[in-house]
Amino acid sequence: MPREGRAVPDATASSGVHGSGTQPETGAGRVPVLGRPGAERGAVGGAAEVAGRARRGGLGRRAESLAAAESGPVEVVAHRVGLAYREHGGVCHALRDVGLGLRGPGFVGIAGPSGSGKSSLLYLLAGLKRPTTGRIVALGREMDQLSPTERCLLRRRYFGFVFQQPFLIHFLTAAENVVVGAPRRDRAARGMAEALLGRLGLAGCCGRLPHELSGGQRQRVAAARALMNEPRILFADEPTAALDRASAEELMGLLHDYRHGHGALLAVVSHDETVTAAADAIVRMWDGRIRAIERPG
Amino acid sequence: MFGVLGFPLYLLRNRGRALALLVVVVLAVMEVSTVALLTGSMLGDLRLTMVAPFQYFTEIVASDALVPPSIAQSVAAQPQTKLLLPMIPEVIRVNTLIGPGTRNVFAVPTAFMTWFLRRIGERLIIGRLPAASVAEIALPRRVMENRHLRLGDMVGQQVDPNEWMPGEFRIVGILGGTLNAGITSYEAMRSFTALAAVPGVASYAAFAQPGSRRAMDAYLSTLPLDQVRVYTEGAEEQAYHQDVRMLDWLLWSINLVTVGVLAVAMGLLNNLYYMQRMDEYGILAAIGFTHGLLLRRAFAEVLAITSISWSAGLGLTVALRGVLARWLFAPHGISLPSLDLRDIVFTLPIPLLISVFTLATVLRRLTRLDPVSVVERRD
Ligand SMILES: Nc1ncnc2c1ncn2[C@@H]1O[C@H](COP(=O)(O)OP(=O)(O)O)[C@@H](O)[C@H]1O
Ligand SMILES: [Mg+2]
Repeated sequence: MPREGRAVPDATASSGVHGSGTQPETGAGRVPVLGRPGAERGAVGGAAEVAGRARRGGLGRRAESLAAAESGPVEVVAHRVGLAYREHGGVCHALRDVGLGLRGPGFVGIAGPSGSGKSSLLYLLAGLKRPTTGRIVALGREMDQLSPTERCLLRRRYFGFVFQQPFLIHFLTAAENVVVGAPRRDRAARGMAEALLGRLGLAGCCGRLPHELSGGQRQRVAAARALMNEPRILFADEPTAALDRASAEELMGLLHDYRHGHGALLAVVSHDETVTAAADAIVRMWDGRIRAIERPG
Repeated sequence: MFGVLGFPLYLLRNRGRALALLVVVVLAVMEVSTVALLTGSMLGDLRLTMVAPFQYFTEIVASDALVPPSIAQSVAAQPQTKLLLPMIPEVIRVNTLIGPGTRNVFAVPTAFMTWFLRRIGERLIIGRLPAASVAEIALPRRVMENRHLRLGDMVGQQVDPNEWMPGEFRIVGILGGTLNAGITSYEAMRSFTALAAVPGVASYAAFAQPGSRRAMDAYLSTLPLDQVRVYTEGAEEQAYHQDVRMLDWLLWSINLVTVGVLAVAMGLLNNLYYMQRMDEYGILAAIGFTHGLLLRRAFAEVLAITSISWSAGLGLTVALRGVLARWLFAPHGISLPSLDLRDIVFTLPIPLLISVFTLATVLRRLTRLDPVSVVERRD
């Protein structure tokens, strides 16, 4: 169940996401609403899923402590966040007063025109940037109260990242690049990486260096790297933008397989409607604000 | 350390870069250690001939031509003086790393030869000691090897104009000991000097009673300078250190300039390398590697390559010296120390300064690293 003070049951919200931004009904002082209060893909079910995996040893001790501390669902909440960049004298507001709660497991798309603040929002939710105003609570932790090191460790343990470019380490082979994402870079991780690459149809590429792979293959390697720590939340920023249609579908298929298999939350920034079509909720951004939250299907 | 992010894999997969650093550091280490070797050998020679003998006796040399007998008598009469021995200090030529050098030869009265040798820590190992008043000489084994001399050979200016020592002496014995000094008959040597016809003594070696060296030297220092010059251990040691300090100061400044320039150059190169690797470090930071961990990784890489290069430089120096010693210097009777503390001390600033300079720049880069700026860049 959503915990007190952070969740406001909202009878009108019926999916994993609810946001506030420019909407007049989300006035000042109102706590941004967190998803829907129970039902089909229940919050308790999500937490139990993670705890269950932890007990089987999939996530190890860290997940156990997490499961103990977190009886709620996988979630990250933005409380009226703003992000401003200083830009040659002036100030550029990438985000203004955005409230959003993501509840897992599920698939959330973040869409909007270029420059509307999609990436900025993703970076804030993932703890890659700190908001200028407002606050972020991720997995029950006030991001503001975490040290930079703790924020890093949170990302390393519970988040996975796929960016528009794969950013593979050029002198490491595909398998070694995947191992980089593992919590412990040992022999077991190596086996897991090779198995993962095998499932992605890259079994023959384990020993190849990034420059010997195609763009689509590289992005799949990057995705495999993001899955090595079995993240609770998978953040992807335009993951298919540099890929052809077939590669894009392959990659998204891989990310969906993972979130289904692990009960994770997948948050994808994309302006490609075919990517976000399957989302439980689509957050539509416009000029640094949430214009609408759509629930396809 | 040996994982996918460990420095061994990085160095192995980026051999070109590692090699560039390695070659420069190796060359620098070899250059600096060669300078250290040459100066070290120079200072060693200086110490052996100019300072070492005075740990055993104090030398009294006439300022003009002869030591006034009254002075000799008063010195001999001092209770601290064990023995005042007429002695002519001479030198014999040897080959050194940096050209011709010298070793001491002491001419002492034959009756005191054995006693004198024992006092200066030398002993006869082959042959016999020079006979009384005969132009014979016993030389240290190292000098014999250095000059390719054999028992029965003749040495002195009369057989070799390049020789320092006057006269013509037949080698009758070989000495062992650390002072590497030769010994010959006082009477014979005197007959070759300019004062041969004048009765009297031009120089003495003053030996102190056990425990009375300081007192004896204190007394000798009060002798009138216009009549005699006194060479005490303390004064010679001090003079040596002044010379050495100047030389070492010069050396260190040259060394530090070399190393400084090198460190800046290598630091800039490393800085360039790390600038090119900010994508790598940026993505690692983005996926949750802490700054501390990334810094440790960069530090390990830098320290590994510099210490490997330094060790390789020293290793190559040892190898090169081995070859040179065997094929070049041994035939000239010069022994070459393979590697000593001096080489370590002189070359250590190379890896240290390069590391410090590189780490400072890398530290600056990594602390300012914003992973978002890396992942946002589109190419
Ligand atoms: N580092 C930056 N400095 C200045 N302005 C920035 C910076 N990053 C993003 N912005 C601005 O913030 C706004 C939102 O950017 P972003 O979140 O990247 O949008 P999107 O991902 O939707 O294209 C844009 O107007 C962009 O120009
Ligand atoms: Mg973007």
